Amino acid sequence: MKEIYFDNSATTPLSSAARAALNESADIYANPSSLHRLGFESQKKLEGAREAIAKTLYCDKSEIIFTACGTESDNTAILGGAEVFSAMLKKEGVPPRIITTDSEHPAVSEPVRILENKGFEVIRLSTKKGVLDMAEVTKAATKNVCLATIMHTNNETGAVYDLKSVFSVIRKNSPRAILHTDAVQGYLHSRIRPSVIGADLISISGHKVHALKGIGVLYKKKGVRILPFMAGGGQESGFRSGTENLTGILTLAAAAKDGFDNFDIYSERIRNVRNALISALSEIDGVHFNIPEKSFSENILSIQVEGEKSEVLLHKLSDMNVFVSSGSACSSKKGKSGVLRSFGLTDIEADRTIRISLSHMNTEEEAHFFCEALEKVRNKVN
Amino acid sequence: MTDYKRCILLKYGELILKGQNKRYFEERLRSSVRRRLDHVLGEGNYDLYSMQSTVFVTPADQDLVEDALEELKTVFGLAGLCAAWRCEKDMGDIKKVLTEKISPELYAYKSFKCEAKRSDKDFPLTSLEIMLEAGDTLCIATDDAVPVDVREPDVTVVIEIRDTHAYIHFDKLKGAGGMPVGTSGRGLLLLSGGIDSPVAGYMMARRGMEIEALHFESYPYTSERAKEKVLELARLMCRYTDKMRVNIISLTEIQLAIKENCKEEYFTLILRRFMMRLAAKVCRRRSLPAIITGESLGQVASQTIGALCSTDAIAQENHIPVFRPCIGQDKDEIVVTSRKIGTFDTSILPYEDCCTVFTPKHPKTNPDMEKILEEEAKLDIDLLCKNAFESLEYVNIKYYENT
Repeated sequence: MKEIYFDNSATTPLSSAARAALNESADIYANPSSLHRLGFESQKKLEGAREAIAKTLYCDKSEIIFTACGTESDNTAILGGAEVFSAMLKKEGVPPRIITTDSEHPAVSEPVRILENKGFEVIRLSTKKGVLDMAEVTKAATKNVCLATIMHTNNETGAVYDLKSVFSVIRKNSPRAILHTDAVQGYLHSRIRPSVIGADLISISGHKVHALKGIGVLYKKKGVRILPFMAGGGQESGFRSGTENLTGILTLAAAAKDGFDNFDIYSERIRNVRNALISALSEIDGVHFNIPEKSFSENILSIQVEGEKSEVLLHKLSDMNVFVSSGSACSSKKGKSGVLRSFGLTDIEADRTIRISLSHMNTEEEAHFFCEALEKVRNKVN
Repeated sequence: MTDYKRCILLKYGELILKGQNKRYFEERLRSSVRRRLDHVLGEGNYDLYSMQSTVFVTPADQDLVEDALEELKTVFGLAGLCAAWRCEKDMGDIKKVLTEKISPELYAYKSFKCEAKRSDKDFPLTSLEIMLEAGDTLCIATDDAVPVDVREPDVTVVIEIRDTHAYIHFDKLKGAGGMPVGTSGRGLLLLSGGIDSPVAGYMMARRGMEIEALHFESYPYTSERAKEKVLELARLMCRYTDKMRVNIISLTEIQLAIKENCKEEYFTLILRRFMMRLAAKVCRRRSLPAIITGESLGQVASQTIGALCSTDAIAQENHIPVFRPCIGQDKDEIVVTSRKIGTFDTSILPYEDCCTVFTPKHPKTNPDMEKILEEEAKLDIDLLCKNAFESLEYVNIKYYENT
């Protein structure tokens, strides 16, 4: 039976571009730091990949730092960014403040919690209905803010936050603040231009955009100071020591180029599948949509199915070779989703929510099959 | 709320002093501006025209105004630039922009004043009247939160009444200054991998010179990486110089010949004289009237006055002037410029270059010309030059393309 993979926010299959890069890179093994010719060839490949990725972020290649994953990018940005301000902790008076939201991925919320335990003050903005309240942002943006970390696209609801407005307020009122966004879900689903959203640091993950696991990117705006998270051989301009994962980097460059060059085509494909899903699901009794009030990413569709527990429903669908997730795959092991409650759902509503996440590799036919499968499994006795 | 357009005003520098050939200078300037805008905004995605010693740029995508502004800071020939709000030439409209657009940003400053410029003399209010009304409007809009200070304001709000519209903006940012690239002829920059030569090239380009580069390599004593580093330096310089051809000549044979035949302490001097001969040859081939070097007096043994005279003698024989814009600068000053133009981090990458291999332990600092000629007589200068010149290859560099 055909597999229907609707869990692309958890991870994505390799794209054909990434697969080709993977094959090609199998024979490129030399260390880019080696001085000999083979090393130089690896370095050229590395820099070419950096250039290609810089293009997709409208930035200079010197602003791209390769890491091992989105989580590492987030940790480097948050812990490395806050480290610069740690001296403020020792001084008497107001502690340095961090602004974040109540819906962040654990890769952001956990390092923030570490800093909170160290003495940083943390303000978590409400994300009700997928929208940030500007009055709340203005109130939070005081002079002692050292770091703001606000995700670009929410991984469970697809909400796209208005970073441009939020960051411009924080920039104006909190001149020292470093502005970070976790754009792991937004990258290549939205056009991300650091200068427009006003971010200093942006986290990106390879495997969410059809490249290999084990590769991430941290965009660091020229002149922004963070302290490196890992010490060692001084690779990546000293911000991320350790021999570069050239294979991962090359697949990411290929996948990113493909996604960027075909942005409009892929977006339309995803939109068509989403529309097919929405119109078919609307016909089914007891299905509700958790759609953010303002802006959202079209590849994530969060729905409630009345009378079903999300995990049970997920397993029933899985038996039919249809793969979705309950909440976010990364955190679903830890129990109920706080994100959905922050979104404004009751416990009952959150418990019956499943997340459908699409990629350009999905088809409208799959959307129809999904809805048929859903109707079939609903009639089964639990 | 009316949607007011954001646009960029670019003010000419020294160019305004030009007479009948001003149009030529303006054309070169506009083409430099276009090259950058085509990259940031995309060809055809902006409106550009010039009038009254100002270039007006209106990006179609209003989100990209700041990006475009940043990129235009590297255009030589611009004294100042700023992002402005454009509105109708009507005091009501002007006040609306002041209230809606300017006043929210005013809070970031300690004090302000208004300044009005009125090139359209038919405008019903005088400059003074405009200033007073504008100041009043801002005081009301900000509830007097930001005080007026006409002597030493933290920021100045400028209202310009121009030909078709009014433009309102904060203080101008400093432009790159100088003259449009290409308006002062062309020159050949001797580009090593160091800190000084890119700075020298930048300084001459700022005076309007179009730069072509010559790099000497000594493969296999220097690596591919060293060459790549020089091409990257050239690419970074192209942010200012628009484009650059980098000529590369191998010195290996010459270096080996000197090492074998001449006294060690004269090695660097004789080598530098060869470099000058080859540079003169490139100048003739490429019709370049001048040579540029990054030499700074007394910085190293080969940059003492005696050493400079011995290399200059070759240029004089060839009737080519040598410009050394860094000659009177300290290393610190050169580093500051190098950081400013963004070449420093690349310059300090640790690869061997042609000057660091075979360096004598005790180089001559006060050379005797006769001694040099005596040592040089041991070499077949013409043949060595001819062979080296045959190794010439070149790369065309543009900033917006990967090397």
